[in-house]
Amino acid sequence: MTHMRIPLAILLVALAVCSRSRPPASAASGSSADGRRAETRAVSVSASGLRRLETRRFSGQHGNGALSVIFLPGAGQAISSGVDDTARIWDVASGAESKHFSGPRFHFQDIALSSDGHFSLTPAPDATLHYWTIDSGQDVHQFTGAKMGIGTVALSADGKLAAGAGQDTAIHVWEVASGKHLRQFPVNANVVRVAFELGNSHLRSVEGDGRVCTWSVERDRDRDKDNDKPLGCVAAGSDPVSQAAFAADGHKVLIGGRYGSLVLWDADRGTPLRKLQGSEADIVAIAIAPSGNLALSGGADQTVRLWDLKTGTQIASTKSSGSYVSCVAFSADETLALFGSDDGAIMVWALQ
Amino acid sequence: MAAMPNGTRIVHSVGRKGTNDRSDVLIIQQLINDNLPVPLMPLNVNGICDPSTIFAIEEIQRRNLHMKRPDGRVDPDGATYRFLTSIPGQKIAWGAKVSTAFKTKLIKIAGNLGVDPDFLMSAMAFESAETFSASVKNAASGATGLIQFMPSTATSLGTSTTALAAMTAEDQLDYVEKYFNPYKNKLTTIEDVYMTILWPNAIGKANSYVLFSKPSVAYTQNSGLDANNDGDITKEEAAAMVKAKLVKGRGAGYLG
Repeated sequence: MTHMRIPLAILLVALAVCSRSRPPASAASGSSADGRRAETRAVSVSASGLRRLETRRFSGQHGNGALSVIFLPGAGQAISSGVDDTARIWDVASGAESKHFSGPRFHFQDIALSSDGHFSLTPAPDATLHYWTIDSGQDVHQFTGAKMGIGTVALSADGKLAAGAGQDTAIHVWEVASGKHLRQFPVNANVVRVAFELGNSHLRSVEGDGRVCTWSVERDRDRDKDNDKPLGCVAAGSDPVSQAAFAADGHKVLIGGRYGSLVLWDADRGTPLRKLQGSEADIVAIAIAPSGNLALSGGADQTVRLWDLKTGTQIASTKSSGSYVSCVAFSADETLALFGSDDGAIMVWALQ
Repeated sequence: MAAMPNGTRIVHSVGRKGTNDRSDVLIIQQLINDNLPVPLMPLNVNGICDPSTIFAIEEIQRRNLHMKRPDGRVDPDGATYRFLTSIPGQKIAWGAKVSTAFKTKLIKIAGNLGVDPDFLMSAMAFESAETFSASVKNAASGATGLIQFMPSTATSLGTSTTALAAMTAEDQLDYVEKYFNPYKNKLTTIEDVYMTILWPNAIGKANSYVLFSKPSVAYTQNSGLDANNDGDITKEEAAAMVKAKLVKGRGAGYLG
């Protein structure tokens, strides 16, 4: 049973995060061993032609800043967005742009992918969320109901529910098939991260005041007067929270601060597990590897750091070309990283 | 300038079928008189919602808000109230140091957020070193613009500090509103307005609350706020700088 439960939990939570982006649940969950091997073949360090810890810059850039980047499953490709209102599909091995979409809705700071990797959920600057076909750029659904500033999005593992939060005063939940706005949970502060977990029925959030809360999506709206309240919250963080990412097991969360703190927390108890020492600048982007053993952080010191979460030590680091690192992401096999910066550059980094 | 203190807000509705608490009616009558957006005789500011007050509200709704069926009532979160409190003639702290477009937009945003516009202006005066520039940058932290957006904040708002620096101050106000939005209608003191920028965790806490202690990166970066140099930066110490900007900004040459 234990063996069965872990993959299920893994399916349901955010994995790698590029500033706010994560790979599709299936690609990183290990739910299909064959699928995972295919992923490894497709985007591997050998295919990239890079030596260990070598970086390569992709051949285009996002104007005045990259916002998000993520590996697409199975095809050796990545997708990125920036303040130039474009989404770009990249061939990771060559660093060449293979596709390009333009328009305000392609300006997004977070991405959640469907389990088959064909669809993408992204927030637009006008507080709508778009569920669209990556191949064509066409909208399948548009989710409305939020009033302002959705910055973090999530899809449930079964693909039925979408969630979004950020600078609005609530976390919103939609039904993917109908586009119907199902729920909204009032929050006290800005939400830097939202993720599904525990059998699609629970959401977890990290707020800017350091609170990590768990919400029930299925709680009866009519019968339970407390249905809009969190099931529970724990206090984490002693530095203004700038960014966060949940580990695949859903019980740990890595929280970065404006003054460079980076602490792995027990998300259930609100106790610190590991303090990652080394950065003293604003943490802008965090990703936890699918295995939960590695993490990436990037920030205002222009540096991307690779961390061993078991020991809390820094394994390696590299510099970005911009004045800060704005997004980071792991490949599903954890051999490659992607990062973007405020000068619009996207880089690939060989971790092995 | 409005004779009422800046930041005084109505609590309940005023006008036809309104709650018409005396204190609220006084505010609305004064706002109408101070700005007289329609050619009306000044109202008798008596706190009583008489027919002439209702008529004045209807005229504003008809002429300025283009309502086909004016309801003659001002609601605390309604369009009529927002209009009355965002009239360009209103003077605010530091208003003389920004464009009319900036001021008008700021007053509107302050209304949306339920924040005293003077508090927002004073916080921006402090953060931008009185420049109200979209591109003023702290070389050490990378913080940029009106409220010194940190790189992580810019990213979470869907922009970058480079993009923020390239836009006009008026356009950057949209990001100021977005940043403050989660705290709307919760910021009643200048301390809490500034805490929203400096450390949201301290909103609603006592003024003696310690934000940063020595030794820490946060303390080092904010050591200028430690007025008594005791190694602790309290909420009160941090906000004192912004309060000083409020006094200065309401003074001659700055109020406008």
